Amino acid sequence: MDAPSSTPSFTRRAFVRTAAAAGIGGAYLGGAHLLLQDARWTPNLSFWVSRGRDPAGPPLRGEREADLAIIGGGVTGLSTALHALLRSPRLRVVLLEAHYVGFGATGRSGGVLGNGTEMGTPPGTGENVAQVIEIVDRFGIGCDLERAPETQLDPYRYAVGLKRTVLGLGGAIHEGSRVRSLEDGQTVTVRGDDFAVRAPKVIVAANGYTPRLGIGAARLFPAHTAAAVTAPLPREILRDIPDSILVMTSGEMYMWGRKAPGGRVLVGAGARYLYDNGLNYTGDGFLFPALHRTLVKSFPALAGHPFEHAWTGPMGCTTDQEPIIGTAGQSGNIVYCGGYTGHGIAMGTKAGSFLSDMLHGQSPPAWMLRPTQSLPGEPLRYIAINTVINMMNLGLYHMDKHV
Amino acid sequence: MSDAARARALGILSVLLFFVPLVAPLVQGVTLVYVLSLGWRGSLDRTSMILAASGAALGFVLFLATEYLFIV
Repeated sequence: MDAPSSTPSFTRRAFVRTAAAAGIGGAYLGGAHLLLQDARWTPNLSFWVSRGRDPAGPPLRGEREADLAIIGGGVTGLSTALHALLRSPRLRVVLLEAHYVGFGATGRSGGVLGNGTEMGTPPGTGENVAQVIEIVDRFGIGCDLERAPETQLDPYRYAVGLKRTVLGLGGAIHEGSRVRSLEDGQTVTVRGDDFAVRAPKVIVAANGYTPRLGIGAARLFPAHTAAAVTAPLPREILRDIPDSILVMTSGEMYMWGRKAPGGRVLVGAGARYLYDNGLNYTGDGFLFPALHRTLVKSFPALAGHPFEHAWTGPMGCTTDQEPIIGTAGQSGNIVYCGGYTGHGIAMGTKAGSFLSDMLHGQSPPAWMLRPTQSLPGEPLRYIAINTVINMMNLGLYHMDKHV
Repeated sequence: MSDAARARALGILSVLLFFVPLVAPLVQGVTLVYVLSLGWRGSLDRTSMILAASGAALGFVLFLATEYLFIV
């Protein structure tokens, strides 16, 4: 034990008093903010969905045989079903969605379309936006598509339009049908609480939810992101806001946004991984004030215009921020796809056509089949992912992008 | 390594690792407990105690800011 040095020690009483005061003060200031909840915040329920939900079809009951089972009613799953049915109209396609079509990252996105991925424009992705426009026009999907100066749409209505098109082509879509497990084999059995679907090919298009099915957990992870929309704004303020917003925050993370229908501004930012691929973000009093502050930094005129509706939810990510296609199961007939890192509307539509091509014996672009850094199990997974996210926020970590 | 040097090193680590989830609060907690135990026994000089405790407190504040103000 070291003897006290020349500087005098605290008396025990002074030490306890100081430590107690600091502890109580810190707990009060931090705890009060952590307990704050924002009544405008509705986890998972985006502005798009809040404008009116399409009636969901009946959940699946009993047993069913299919040629192709698709898990996930987002853009990827719906686009896969659409392209598969366009190529093989007699294919028996069954799509299973745990909640309702467009519930996931599809319906929560901003609906801003861009070619390529988060990291650039890898081969085969240069015409992604044109493909979405072609689908919207060909099938008459009403989704508030704006073609110029920025291509953007209502992502939920786009998903609903894809759903109706798939149903019109003879596909079966069952909402409220949560898949619990997959039994591997030449014929895969997809099981839920009240149903079983047997199919020789299964596409897992659950994106950020994929690891919860025990598939692709070493390559895909869900990251929660936040978005919010203002109330309708006066014309003179709206005039100075660009159609598409992309603001770098302090590091590599950025705030994205757009003008939304009704003279509103919609923005989103942030990423956070929850322990063990957690899907329920409980929120706190810091999140949306921080998002509003970031918005006001770039557009000071919005200072007096708080958010009217705010939401969070997981999106699928990979370690290199590029989407992937992978296979699982002994026969390789379970194929998963995801990890768009917030660029999923156009890229997910394209991925659906890649997956459909795969079903017909064609290979997707090699970059989508690339090996990726394997993610460890918990708790290292939580530490590694959030450390990198924090470092990106702080500007301490950068990733190489495609040119 | 003396108790004082160990306490100061822990204080510095508490700040340096503030952006590492789980690890940061663990190091900060260990630092605080270490300083508390030495302080209780009156065997740590004031400068080391202030350095270590401040490191733990600052690191924890930075950790919370990174966790909860992640849109920066």
